[in-house]
Amino acid sequence: MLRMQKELDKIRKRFLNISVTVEETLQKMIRCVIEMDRELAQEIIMDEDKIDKMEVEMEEECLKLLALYQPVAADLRFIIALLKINNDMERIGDLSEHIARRVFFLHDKKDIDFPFDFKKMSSIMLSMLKKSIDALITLDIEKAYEVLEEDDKIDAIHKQMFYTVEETIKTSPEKIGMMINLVGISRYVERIADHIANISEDIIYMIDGEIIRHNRN
Amino acid sequence: MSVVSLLHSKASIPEELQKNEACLPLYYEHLNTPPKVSVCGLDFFYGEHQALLDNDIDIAPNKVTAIIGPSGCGKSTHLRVYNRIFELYKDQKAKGKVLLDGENIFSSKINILELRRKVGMIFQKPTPFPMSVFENVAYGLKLHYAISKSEISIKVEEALRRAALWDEVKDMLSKPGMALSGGQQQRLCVARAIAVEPEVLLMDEPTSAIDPVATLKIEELIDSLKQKFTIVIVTHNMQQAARISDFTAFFYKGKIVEFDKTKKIFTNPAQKKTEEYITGRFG
Repeated sequence: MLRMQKELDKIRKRFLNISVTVEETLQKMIRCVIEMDRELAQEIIMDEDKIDKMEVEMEEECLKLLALYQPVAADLRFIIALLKINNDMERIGDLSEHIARRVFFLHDKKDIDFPFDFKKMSSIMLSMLKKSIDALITLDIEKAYEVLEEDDKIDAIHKQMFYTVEETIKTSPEKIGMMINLVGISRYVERIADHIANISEDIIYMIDGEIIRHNRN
Repeated sequence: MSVVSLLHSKASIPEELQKNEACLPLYYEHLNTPPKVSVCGLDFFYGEHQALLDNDIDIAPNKVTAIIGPSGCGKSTHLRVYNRIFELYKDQKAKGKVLLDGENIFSSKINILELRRKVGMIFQKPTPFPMSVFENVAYGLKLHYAISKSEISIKVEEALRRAALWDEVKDMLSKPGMALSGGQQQRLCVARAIAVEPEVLLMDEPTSAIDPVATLKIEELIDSLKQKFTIVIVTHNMQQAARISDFTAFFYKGKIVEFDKTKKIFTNPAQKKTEEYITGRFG
């Protein structure tokens, strides 16, 4: 096997490690919000540091490959896509941490009333991440497009949430503090889904060579 | 070929090309001018051995077209047809059409000396003549034009300036060309080629025998020369092809496997064979 292929295999494995860590962090985050678990929130904050380190190492490896081997065609697209996906993964780690910090404010509140279906929203988000990682490993462009469709569902839930919050604040103004934190959680989940959609767009570029970022339709 | 989708509207394609449908598929839509060179159904033989098979390609004017491919794929052979230099060797023959500005170079009306003035060539190894720097550049001028000594001096300086060599050799014009460094010798050959005001410059691996610094100078030079000339370059260095060319043709076993904009070839080639070659998986 060519040296460059070996190096590409190495960064492929490195990417899988980051993906697994990010996926585990998201699962923890979902549990943490549902159970309002402070200890899990603490773990997520620590995971974020780990993801940051992995992101830097991954970027260094990609830059090394670009400098030493001057890859072209599919190899070039693979490295460029990974560089960008790596950045999105790190942002997903950051946003999970932001959600975990909201749990510190909410965990001792009684009768937390979510103005949106968090379980549904987070389960779509997790399925998006799994699908996009799967699409990258199996080079399945159809799966990558499916992820983009699911992002629209998340956007719809997030948008609907604002109407519910408005009504709740009118009828129960004492819940404003709680609502602000819950709106934050919805917003962060929506942004995580956006990053996963970015990942899918990069996978489509990697497979097809076509940049669909600004003209998805 | 895969680039059929890039066909230009037929109306703006020159009449002589419209007559031959085989010439059309490689005519790019963004080119508003006719191709400088149009190769149609070119076959080439070394004795019994067929080295080129049915090559079709259009060379855009004032652009750099790179030819890449593994050793023995026919890159240099293809290039050597454009000025019929292969005819200097026994048992070599070409079939098909090569149109320079719409005129077939194999036509009996073609003046071979004039063809070689129009289509200059620079080889892999610098080939200065065993004479002074000045005479190296003046040689072709004297051969092609009846001009005065002072006019020759002006044209020699102009060619050396265009070849980005003047500042380095202006005080040593009477010294032997062979005394220059490898990179300078290659630029001297470029100056010699462009002094006679060719229209097409063929470069056969022009930087393979010189160091990286001299290579960069030649690449800069190629970039500036395309304002005035049409350049076709054969190179083994794929990064070089990616850096300096506008179009790239990938040759394999005497056939043109893929021809497209360089950016497309090096980021998303249409053919698997091209992908395998440029990513180093074979060749």
